[in-house]
Amino acid sequence: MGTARAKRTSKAEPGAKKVKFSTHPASDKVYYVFSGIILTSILIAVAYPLIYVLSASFSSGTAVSSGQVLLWPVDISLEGYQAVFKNKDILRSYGNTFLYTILGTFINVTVVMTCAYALSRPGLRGRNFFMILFTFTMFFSGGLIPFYMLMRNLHLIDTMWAMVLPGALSVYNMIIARTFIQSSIPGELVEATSMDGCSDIRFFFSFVLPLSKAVIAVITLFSAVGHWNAYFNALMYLNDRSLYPLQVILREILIMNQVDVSMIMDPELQQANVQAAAVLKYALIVVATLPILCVYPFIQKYFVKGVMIGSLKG
Amino acid sequence: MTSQPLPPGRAKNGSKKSIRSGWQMYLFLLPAVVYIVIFAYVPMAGVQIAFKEYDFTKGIWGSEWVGLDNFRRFFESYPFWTIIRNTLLLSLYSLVISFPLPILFALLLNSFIGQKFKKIVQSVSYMPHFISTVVIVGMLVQIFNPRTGAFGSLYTFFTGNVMPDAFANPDLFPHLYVWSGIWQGIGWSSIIYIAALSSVDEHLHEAAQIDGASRLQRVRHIDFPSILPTATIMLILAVGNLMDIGFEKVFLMQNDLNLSSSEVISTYVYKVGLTIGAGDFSFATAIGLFNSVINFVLLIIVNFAARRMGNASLW
Amino acid sequence: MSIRTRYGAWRKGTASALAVILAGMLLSACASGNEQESAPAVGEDGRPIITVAVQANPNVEDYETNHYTKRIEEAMNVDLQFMELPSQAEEAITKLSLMVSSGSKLPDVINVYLNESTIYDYAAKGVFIKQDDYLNNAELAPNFNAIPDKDFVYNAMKLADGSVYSLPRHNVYEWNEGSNRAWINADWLDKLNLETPRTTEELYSVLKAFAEQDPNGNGKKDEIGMVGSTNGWSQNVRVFLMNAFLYADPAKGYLDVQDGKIFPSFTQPEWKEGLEYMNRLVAEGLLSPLSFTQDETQMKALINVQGGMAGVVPAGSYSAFGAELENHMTLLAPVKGPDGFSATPYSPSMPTPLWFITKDAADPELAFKVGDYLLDPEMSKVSRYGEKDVDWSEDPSITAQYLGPFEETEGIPTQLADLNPGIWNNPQNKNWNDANPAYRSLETNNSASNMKKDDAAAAPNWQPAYADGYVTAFPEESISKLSYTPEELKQIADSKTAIDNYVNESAVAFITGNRPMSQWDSYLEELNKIGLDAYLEVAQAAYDRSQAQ
Repeated sequence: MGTARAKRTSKAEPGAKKVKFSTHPASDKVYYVFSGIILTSILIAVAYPLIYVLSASFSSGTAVSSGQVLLWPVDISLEGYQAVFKNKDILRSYGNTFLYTILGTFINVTVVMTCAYALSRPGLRGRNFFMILFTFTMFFSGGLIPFYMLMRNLHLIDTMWAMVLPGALSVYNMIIARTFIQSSIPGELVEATSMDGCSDIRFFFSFVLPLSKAVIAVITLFSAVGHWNAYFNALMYLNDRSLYPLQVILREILIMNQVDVSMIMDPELQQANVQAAAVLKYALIVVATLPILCVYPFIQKYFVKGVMIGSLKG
Repeated sequence: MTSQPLPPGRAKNGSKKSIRSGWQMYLFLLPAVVYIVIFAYVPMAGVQIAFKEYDFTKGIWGSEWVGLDNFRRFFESYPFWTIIRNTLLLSLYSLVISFPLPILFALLLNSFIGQKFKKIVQSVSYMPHFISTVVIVGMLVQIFNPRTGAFGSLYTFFTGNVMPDAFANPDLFPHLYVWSGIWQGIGWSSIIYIAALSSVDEHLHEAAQIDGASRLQRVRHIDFPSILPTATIMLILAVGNLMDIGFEKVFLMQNDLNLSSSEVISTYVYKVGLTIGAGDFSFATAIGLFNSVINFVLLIIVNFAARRMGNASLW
Repeated sequence: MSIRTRYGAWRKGTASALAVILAGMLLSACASGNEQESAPAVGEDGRPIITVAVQANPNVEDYETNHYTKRIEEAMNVDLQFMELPSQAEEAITKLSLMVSSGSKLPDVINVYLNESTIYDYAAKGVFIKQDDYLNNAELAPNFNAIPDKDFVYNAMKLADGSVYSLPRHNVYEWNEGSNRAWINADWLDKLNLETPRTTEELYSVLKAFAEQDPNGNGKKDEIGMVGSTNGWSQNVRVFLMNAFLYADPAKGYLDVQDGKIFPSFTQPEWKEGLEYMNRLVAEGLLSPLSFTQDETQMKALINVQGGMAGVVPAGSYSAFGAELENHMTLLAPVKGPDGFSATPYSPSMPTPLWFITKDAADPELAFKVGDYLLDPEMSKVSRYGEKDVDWSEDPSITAQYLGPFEETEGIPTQLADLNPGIWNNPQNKNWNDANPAYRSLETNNSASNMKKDDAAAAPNWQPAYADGYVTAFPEESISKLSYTPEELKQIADSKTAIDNYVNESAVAFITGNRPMSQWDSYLEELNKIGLDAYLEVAQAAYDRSQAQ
């Protein structure tokens, strides 16, 4: 199907991306048209909630809480943002979150990559034992109480390490990284370099890391997002307000503005807070995610092709 | 010589490799092992409270043994079979849809022409991941509202009738749950595959083009095999997560009309917890343990099957 | 050296290293249980320190520098220090139990809202101390003993063991005692020349007229007779309608009491009649089934359009209606059913237990005295309205400018002018957002006002109409609270959850016609299977206990 034609034209194209659309073989054109339609529809479907959230965050509380916002802002107002930034803890908590995210992600990526590299080596004795040892912890944990006691005994309560150390090794990320290293770093490379007397440590730094940029990018993203959004550890292990990360403060704002009849507050008075809450929800999402969204373009760079084995192999 | 990826999970020339993997490799492993022992295995002793009547004045070790009472309480609860069935149906359906679609999306996106467009689609598609569940469910309810929602208005415009209420129909609940999950998560879940695709050797594509392979053929024979190990591992992990249906979204999407298909383990346990009031750590731990055991067994089975079929596996 | 021995050596080394780490941690786990400070701590200026656990509240800027805190510190000569717990109740309880479980030293006072079973659990295990002796001592508790209905408050705070472990926050406010209000579009009634419905049959005809005669005048028969939502405050349509057939209170799990005997409303023939009535409304398109699936936002979007979209809307608060409906919706008193019955669920104002003194308190008596001071009438007002003479005033020349909620109907003049109503839902540093012991009587609340007399744009005042239509519909005998012991709760947790679920699910299924009324008997059978009898027995025991106190 179309191969003969493709054969003729394909000689002319060294790499797909630099070629004009009209020069593609017919079968490929059909493929591109189809995938173009699918991708565009996905783009539209997925852009809708984003536009909605942004619009709602710039609308008035009344408009949002009475469901008038459908796509564009209604009754444009900054009241959501004003309500968020009225809180004097916001800026400090932003700083804390940055610190925890950067430090935590650095530790995560280091531990994950070293562990993944070791476990990707087929010759490692006890490899399966270690894999089971790690995987087991994805399923079984002692729960909150013993963990709290551990944190207390390690004197991590009320320190920033309570935000950074638990979860230093994400087994999930480690497995992803290991799979990537296994499937993309050729065994021949290990052999060839070992003949040249390259040590495991040097191999890690001069081959594994450069060749794993894409997966390091992914794991950095996953860890950073995880740290950025973390709040539960902060709630449990931090008592000092000045250490609180952004998400805790944002949750406090949101919770205070939700009606909870079972709570202590007077329900009729609480109603006054509901409208503010409606728009707050959206403003909070924007405030909380904009910085982390900015990370993505830097990460995305490493998904581009070209940093490949060919360049290192020679 | 074209570079052949290592067959995952097994060494080709075992002897040679094991010489290479000396003490330095264990040095690499050390931080992770120390971490996991301290932060996972030491507190793991706490799992025993699933078999105890936890009393905070006596502590974990001093609390009274009650054997399987906490489990029995769960197994004998009135809607036990309904919630197990709902949980499994929902998670299986979710797995069948939300496992392959991100892969297809990644393949499609990767094979498309036009760097700019690709970048835009990719960066827009992962963003909904950051929208909180409350907001996503709120939008869902709004879109499907027969009177004021977008779909409702379209339906009325074309048929002149009022659209049936999707949230009132228990049969539609799994579809709403799963497809809204795709809507929010397809981009995020595809990131890992997009990264894996970036490691495909360009030379393979060039060679195939010279041989006259169409784009679709190259997707099938070059791109897809290159992400297969990642996909297999992701599948194993997804199956090992089968019993864990996220609580919040199901809970928010529930109403009295769709409860017959929307009550899952986590939502029911939450409601029982609300009735009891004081946190019943023992009961919660027992349910968690029950889920974990099933998940872990499933993972072992799938991992075994994957290894048998010569695919990537965890061990 | 062979690989094997090298690996073996590594294994031994690492294994022993791990063993050392492990042992060290276990040792420290054993040792750290008893690192407690003793002797009452004293602050910098020599005042005794009292530590108080409070819930984080973004509307309270800083507990330490708070006006309310400062007043307490001055009056009681103490130094209050704070520990903030998470703002969500469940998380706060989780953190508290983690602290207790791990043997951490607790603050002197826990001033956090806790549900009764949690309090009971902590009390039974000796974490909280009894306050009965303090409360009964007029020397120690001058303010508590000055409360007019202190016996009621005292008894209401009693746990299943007959003791009191807390100080009350008691705010008597009629408006919140019967929140299942419904509102009717008065413009539509006028336009169609209809009387306000007083019975279920009249309501039926009015809804029918609404749905068929295009009262909003947009040329389309798009009007909805009656609609509610699933999650708004008292926006459940079933409650208002069902109470025309029998007493049905969702807050009590639809249990009712007659002559001291607890019985379920949801198995009575009247309940069935109520369902049949609602089923008829749904079948004829007068009651929107959206009421059972849509959230409050959707409901607001539906009803708040120019000219109106719904005739009758149940809502606890008038804030459900936007500018389009302001002054068009008017309070609809409970309607009478075919047997002439009508009621509205009654939730009497109950004291909220707060200010729990812990076993670790250095000076429990002092901690109690501080708590009692919060019940001082003026402190109770500061607690709600802010700083005296700045945020509120009792100066007659100022209060005279304000219109009391019952001034026009009953001639009750304003005693307290709320000068700064915005203090309630904005970050401020004047009080703890009323999350503390306090006492404000019905008289105090009925004579407080934030409405200027000459303000033409003032929101309508529904309180008199409410007192007329709803307060009179409160039942004579009702369950004010059921306090279960933790053992009882454990016993019924599963069946109660399943029954509540099943009752609601079935009611909606019957109403929407998803389940035919002919299945009523199988519905009753199923309830028995879930364990209704055992549940009722436990509920009866809990009720008897609370009556005996």
